[in-house]
Amino acid sequence: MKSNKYYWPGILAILLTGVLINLMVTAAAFSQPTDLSPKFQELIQNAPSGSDYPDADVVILYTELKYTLLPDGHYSKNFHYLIKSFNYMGKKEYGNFKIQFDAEYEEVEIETARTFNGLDKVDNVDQNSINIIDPPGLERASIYSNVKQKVISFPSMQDTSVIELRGELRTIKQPEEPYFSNKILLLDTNPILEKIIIVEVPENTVLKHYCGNGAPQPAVSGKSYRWEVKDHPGIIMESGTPPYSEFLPVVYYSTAPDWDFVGSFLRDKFKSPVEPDDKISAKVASIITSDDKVDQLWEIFYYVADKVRNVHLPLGIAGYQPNPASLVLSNSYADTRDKCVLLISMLQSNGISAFPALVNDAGNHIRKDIPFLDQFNKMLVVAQCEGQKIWLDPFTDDALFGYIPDCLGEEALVIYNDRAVFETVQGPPHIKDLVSSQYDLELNPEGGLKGNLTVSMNGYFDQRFRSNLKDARPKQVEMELEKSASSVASGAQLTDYDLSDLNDLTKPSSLSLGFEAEKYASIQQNMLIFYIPTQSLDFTGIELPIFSETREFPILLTTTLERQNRYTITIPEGYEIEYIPESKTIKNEVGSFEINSDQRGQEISYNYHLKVDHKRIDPEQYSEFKALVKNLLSPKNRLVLLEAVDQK
Amino acid sequence: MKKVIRMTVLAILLAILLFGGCSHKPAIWEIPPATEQASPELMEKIRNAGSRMDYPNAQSIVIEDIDSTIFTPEGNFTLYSYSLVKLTTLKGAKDYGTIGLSYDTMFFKVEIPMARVIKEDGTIINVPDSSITDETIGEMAMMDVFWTNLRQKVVNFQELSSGATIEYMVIYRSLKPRFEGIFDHTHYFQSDEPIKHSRSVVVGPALMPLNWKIRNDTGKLITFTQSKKGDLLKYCWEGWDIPQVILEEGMPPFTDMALVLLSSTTTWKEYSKKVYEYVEPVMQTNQAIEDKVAELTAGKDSEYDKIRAIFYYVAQKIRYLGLAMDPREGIQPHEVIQTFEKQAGVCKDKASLLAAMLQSAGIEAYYVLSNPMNHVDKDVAASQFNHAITLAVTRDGKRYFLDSTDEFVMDMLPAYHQEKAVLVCDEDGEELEYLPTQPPEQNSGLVKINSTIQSGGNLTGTVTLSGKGIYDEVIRQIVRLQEGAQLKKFIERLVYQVNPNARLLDFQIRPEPIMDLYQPAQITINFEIDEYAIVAGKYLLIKPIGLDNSFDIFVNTYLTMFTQLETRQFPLAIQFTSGIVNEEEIVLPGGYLPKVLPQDKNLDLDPASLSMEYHYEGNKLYFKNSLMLNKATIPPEEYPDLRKVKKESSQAASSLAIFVREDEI
Repeated sequence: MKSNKYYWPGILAILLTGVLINLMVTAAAFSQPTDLSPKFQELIQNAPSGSDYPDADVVILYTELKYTLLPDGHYSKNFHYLIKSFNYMGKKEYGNFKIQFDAEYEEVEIETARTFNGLDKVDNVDQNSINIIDPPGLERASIYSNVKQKVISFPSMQDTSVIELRGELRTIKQPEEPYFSNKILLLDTNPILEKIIIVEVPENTVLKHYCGNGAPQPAVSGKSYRWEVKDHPGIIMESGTPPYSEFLPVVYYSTAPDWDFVGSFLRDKFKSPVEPDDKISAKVASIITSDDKVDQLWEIFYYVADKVRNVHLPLGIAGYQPNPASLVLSNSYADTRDKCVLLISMLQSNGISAFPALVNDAGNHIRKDIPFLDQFNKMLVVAQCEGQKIWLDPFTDDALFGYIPDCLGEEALVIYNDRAVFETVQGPPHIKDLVSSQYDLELNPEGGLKGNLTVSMNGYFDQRFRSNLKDARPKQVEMELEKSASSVASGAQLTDYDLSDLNDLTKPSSLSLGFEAEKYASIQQNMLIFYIPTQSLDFTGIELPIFSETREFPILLTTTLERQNRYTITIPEGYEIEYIPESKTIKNEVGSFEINSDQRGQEISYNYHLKVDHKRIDPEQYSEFKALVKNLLSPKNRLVLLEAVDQK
Repeated sequence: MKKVIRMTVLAILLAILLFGGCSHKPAIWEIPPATEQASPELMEKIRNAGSRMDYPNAQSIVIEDIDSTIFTPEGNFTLYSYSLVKLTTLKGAKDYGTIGLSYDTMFFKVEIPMARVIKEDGTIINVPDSSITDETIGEMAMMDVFWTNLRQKVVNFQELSSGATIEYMVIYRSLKPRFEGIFDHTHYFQSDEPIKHSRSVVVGPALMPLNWKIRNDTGKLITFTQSKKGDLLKYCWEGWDIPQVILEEGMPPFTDMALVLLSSTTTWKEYSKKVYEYVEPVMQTNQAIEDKVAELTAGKDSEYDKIRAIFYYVAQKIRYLGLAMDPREGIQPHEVIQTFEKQAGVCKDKASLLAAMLQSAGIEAYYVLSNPMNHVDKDVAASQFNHAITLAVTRDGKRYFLDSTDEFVMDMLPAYHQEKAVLVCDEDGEELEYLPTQPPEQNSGLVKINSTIQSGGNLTGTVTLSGKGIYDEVIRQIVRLQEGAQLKKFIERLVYQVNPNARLLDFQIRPEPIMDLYQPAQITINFEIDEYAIVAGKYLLIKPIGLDNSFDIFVNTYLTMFTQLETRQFPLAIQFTSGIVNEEEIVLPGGYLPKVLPQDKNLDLDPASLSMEYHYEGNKLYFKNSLMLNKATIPPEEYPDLRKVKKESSQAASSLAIFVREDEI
């Protein structure tokens, strides 16, 4: 191999070019931006350092967001950010600033985007650094929406740079919604030196607003509402919290007078699309097999849930106008609006009244005093059939009929023909969030374990289990079950299994699997030692965040929780039990945990039962919650020690 | 749409006249007239393809997968692709609801002259133009690459159901060749669905013959024919009833395992030279760069120290960010002056800047193509690279491959490059070579634990976690990506993994800053655990903390995750060798003597090794274990041995050191 050669004429050219460039860079480097006000110059010059906020990745030096509603219904959002990064993660988070917008209705103009590495080194972002992309996660839904992200990249941003971004998002077409609304978090995890939120509406417009979780009331001047945050130290976020707006200072506002107004807007959108036509009627006729009206409802529901492909698009992101039901039927794909339109239309065609309902399944409570649709992120259908009110989620094709993941007990806005009212989402009372396992195990003197595990799942656990396996190929199902057997006892072989029909949404799912593990218990001289397995099936588990000693913020679990495991363990002849976990019961405000262990001859029976009654665990309840879960996981509560009788 | 179809049909007919298919059957390329019913011949083909009963593990059946390519001496080409896919399950219908066709607008124009659904009764539903959208690629944005020239056409099919069939044609026309005078072509004859018929035809100048290979064709499923017409050569590869690949967790990339055609008109040497010709012009430095080099190498005597200093600068100070700037974006690096000035670039930009800066320091250095994910075949010089690194050669002939995209790697080349191909690009051209396997000790972690147990079973302890190679890198990444309070939470979680009664007392991280790659990374944790040792009557039961690798951050997890299947059809791709060693000293409470200590273990097999030792002396229990993953890729026949190591390790995790009260003896 030869190394590159430098050619003398080239070197001269390079040197000259280098000198010129250096001069230019030097000239630029020592000029301070003339459009920067003294206030901002000082902010940048005297910006805090990482040691001032050791737990933060960035500090917000200044943010101003101004939301303006114009008399003709158009709106704009002016933004100005001045952010200092402290470290790698700060650079990663803000180095590519993304602004989402609906390209059909909105445009984003960038006025200023630059990086400060000191006041004497300012790099303006050039056009190559501003790109419009389809947002990750929304790809392949472009058939439905024109949502884009404008990405402003700051190439010369270092770990401790300051970036400035100023611009405007504004409407280019009359907005769809006949009101102006928003939900704004005043604080987030980052420390803030100064943040200003301004909302301005026209003279004759009434703006309802709500300031929650300690957010201050605005300073009002005419039709201008102003909130200010100063010197916020930042928040150390914890895992498993509810949405931030549930416990951090937040502002809601809307110009909609009431929910009837909002409901009327949506009702008008749905009125025509839900009208059944011949195509819809023919399809309904082709899928109905039962004589019972309620069963017919479930047949129609299952068709829409199962046969029509879900297009995952958050509600509202592409507006609220659904497509006509027969078009949705033709397409065989639909987002949440269109699925509801199709379901309502098909039910109505079959003489069953049905109405759209909006809900939030992410744990956000709805502010009833501030009406606007963006508080909801999901659409359901409420059907009235044979005197029953039945709640339906056509986006979920892998849950027991009537079970609506994450929504049960939540308040939904139901849009009836003549009114919009709040009602609580109900599910069938017989469906509980429960997983129960029965282990029948036999240990041999060589430490091998043979056994059978039967698991019954209901509610949330049933849905999790189904969603993983329902559409999997037979070979993949087998591989998953092999892995499950291995998770019970490492290296275990799956000997047989029996899986319930996962397409039958009338019955909870169940699984029975037989396994053999050659090496399970540890043999130490005359002793056999093993731990009672607790892991049922990997994909029905949920994380219980009890790593910290204390908590500042609440926990929001995915579901209430009830887990029952029963064991019958036959120990080899010639062995006695030296140690098994003690029976115990713990009951507190959060729930209960119980172990019952017993021995009869060569048989150990061991049961545990964990119950957590609430999805939300407040900080003051954390220690009690932790006490329950710790006991479930403690090795001491799973250890079994056997000793050979004749060698004692 | 109609104009495009007409022109397309014309071009296709020309090709058909010259080269219709491998045999002389009527070609597929005729665009069928707009009709509401599929032809009887097409329906028969669909019916005969089979059903779910015939292929119980399939979600669909690929009935036809055809492409025909015509290339020119300049390297430009037009590729016509035709697909006919029968959806045998509802899941298949949902999966095929949209298909994405990736392309690069700088190099290709993509047309979709036909896309339609054929229902079970033969009714045809054409995909309207409005259902074909053009998008950026989400995965690129997630890697901070915002080249808007990388796009995908997304076709949304309507009225899909189980039993329906989709049919579509795509035409790719190159706007300019990637490398002048070079053509290469890849065709996958296998997928995760069964394929009834697959064919690839390439037509090109006889003066540019193709070198080709069908990889993984152990069953000789693919036939080949070649013919000549005037100055043109026609190659045809064809296969029938090709079985599907059932994906396995941990298998190498699908593209490494499937039946694939690789073909190229060039050799690796020529390819290397060509890349050099593209890269060399951008490597001119300027005074600013040279000043930086001088600053970085000041006081450094050895070439190695200079390499290190310059490498660390490029790796950590030049930000990984992809912004489209040049007409050959994706192929040619930006000028190193530009990358240096912007302080940002992707792998090709960083690799070329590093090479230029090393050269500026008087060190022999080269731009190198690599692929740390997939296997690159040495027999055919087809485009198989997705990454760029740098090679430095010191005067004593030592070679250092350097990956400046990775800013956490002390050794300058991350472990996942081992056994992977590299192509050094210089003016003479080089052959493809493969990087050697590293011994696991070069990438292993070391956990040292010192603890004291009180008579009630409570434990207080200190653990120090450090490592080499990729282990060191992972420690740094953990710290770097979770600076501040989140790091404390991570360590709390780590401590909690040992025992739910564990509490973090405090911790220290070295070095400060963690990105000082001259010092090894280390985390020291002080903790306590209530009732850690179990008092069971007269016995005190102690499990060494290191026994189940509680403080290990990934090796044991890998082993657990990758040994859950009973058998494997495909190799297990761990990507790098690695290991974990625990050394533990436990001070026991007074009044106890050992009754039973677990047996030592020593298992040394090809894919992995395991050892455990216990030792009691002077009221202290000493424990040491070692788990080594010896291979980056484990062949299926060695997988049982890997599972054996895991079983032994898991069984041992049930062991306890059993002590009995002195007064009970």
